[in-house]
Amino acid sequence: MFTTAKIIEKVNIRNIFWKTKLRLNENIGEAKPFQFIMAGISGEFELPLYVSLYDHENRLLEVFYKVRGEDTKKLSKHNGFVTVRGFYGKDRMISFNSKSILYITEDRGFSVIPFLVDKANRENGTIDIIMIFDSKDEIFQIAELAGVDFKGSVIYIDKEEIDHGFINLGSFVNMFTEQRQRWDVIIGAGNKDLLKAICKLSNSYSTNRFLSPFTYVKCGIGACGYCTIPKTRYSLCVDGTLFTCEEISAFLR
Amino acid sequence: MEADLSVKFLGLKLSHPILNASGILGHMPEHVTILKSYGVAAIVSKTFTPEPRTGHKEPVIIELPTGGIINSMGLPNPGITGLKKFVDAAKKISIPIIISVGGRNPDEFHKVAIAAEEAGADAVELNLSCPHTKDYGLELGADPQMAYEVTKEASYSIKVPTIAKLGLIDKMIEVSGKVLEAGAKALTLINTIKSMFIDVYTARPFLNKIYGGLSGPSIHPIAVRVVYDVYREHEDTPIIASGGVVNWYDAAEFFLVGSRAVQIGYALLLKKDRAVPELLNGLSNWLAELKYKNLEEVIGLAARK
Repeated sequence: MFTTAKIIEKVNIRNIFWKTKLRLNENIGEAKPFQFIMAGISGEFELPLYVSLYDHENRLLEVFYKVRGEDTKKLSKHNGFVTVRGFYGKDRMISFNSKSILYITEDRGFSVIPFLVDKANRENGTIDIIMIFDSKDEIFQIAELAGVDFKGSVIYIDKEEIDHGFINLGSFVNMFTEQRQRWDVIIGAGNKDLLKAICKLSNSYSTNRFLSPFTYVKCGIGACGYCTIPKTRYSLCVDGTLFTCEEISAFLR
Repeated sequence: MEADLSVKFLGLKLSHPILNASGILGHMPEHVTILKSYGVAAIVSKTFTPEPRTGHKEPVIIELPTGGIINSMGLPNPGITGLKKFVDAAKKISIPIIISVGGRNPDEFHKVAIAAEEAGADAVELNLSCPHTKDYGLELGADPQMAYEVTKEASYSIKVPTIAKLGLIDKMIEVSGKVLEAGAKALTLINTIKSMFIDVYTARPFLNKIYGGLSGPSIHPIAVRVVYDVYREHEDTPIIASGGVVNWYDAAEFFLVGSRAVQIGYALLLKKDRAVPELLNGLSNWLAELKYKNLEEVIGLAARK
């Protein structure tokens, strides 16, 4: 579904992250966590963005993104109207219903945090979060992003320390998990290496694991095939964005 | 009794007459598996060009509020070096494969057609009608002489059959005659139709490259008219119809005006793996209701002179 939307609020975090609130001109359905929109400026660009929060009744949509190139830079400076297509991706969200979920994410996966926290609160569940930042300068407190009452635990990791070998992500999360009760569900959003680590480290648990891989999205509706997960029969935009470790195991290998 | 939906043309015996239209998936080996799971009888690839193309910058597609889509993908493809892997994937699961061939001039069409045949394609479909990529389609197919030269150059040096895919053009009868004279053994009619969509809040065209190709239900009656006109001129030429087929009734219309097979695109986007079984079921019931034993019996019935 296509609509236009007016930017009604922009909040800048650490100079490179933007939390933006939009009012949609038309209702385009109900959004679920890990669904995404294609948002942009007509004739110029369009970007896939996870939905951060959506108030269906008032058509208020929040997105969160990091400035990483020309298009995100343009979006961050833009005021007025943008185009929105969506909501894309399957509704495959696990219900919290008193469950505990661990969400491990980097980069654009931060966007989903407000949605997950809100859902956990509404469904009497709990959520703990591990946020992996590209560098320590980027680290911000979850309260700046969530905008909803976050009751869980959060750990901030600087990716440079992982890259330099100061932290081993696998053993770190193992340690983290040993200190707590087992989670009912572990969700990961990130690049291949992170998702691979998540499947590997949590393999010994009977926990349900869901992964949202980062990949290039061009059309959003399953036509172009550019977001097909290599070595699988799934396209991110129509079959995802969440998959189980088993579904995309060939890709992760 | 269940009607026989199998069709024969271009030396291919297909279990049924439904193919995907070029542009729906079709450039990665993984897409072969996905398209096969949708149930198509043969796979038509995305258009391959001599060199890789990244396609147009986004926005490249819009779903229209009234149904249908306009796309301006810009022929993204891995180039001829990606052909072998793609064709091999189809051979591995024994599904006929038609490679859509594109280029800017007769030489480029020739080069890709040869590469497609060497890769093992069962047929090539010349894209003479892409409405949104400058120099790569509609301009070639709208000019009878150029369409002739491209078709001749592409088809004379390959043994597998050549299908010419034409768009909505004024000189349809003349161009179809020319491409058949040049060596095309079949026609695919029609491509998407050049169109645009305006963002009324910013007063700008939505698509990055302004124009796109319209597909979906709104172009179906136009495609039926074109197939009807061309079939009446070239009754012995196999026609593959394409344009806005969403349900079995749309497909039945195409067979009655002379097509031997139907390509679907929008229906696959809407219904995924339900699209083909629904079409086949509907066609089968329709033929049985009218007491026809097979699809061949109804081809062209509504276009008799």
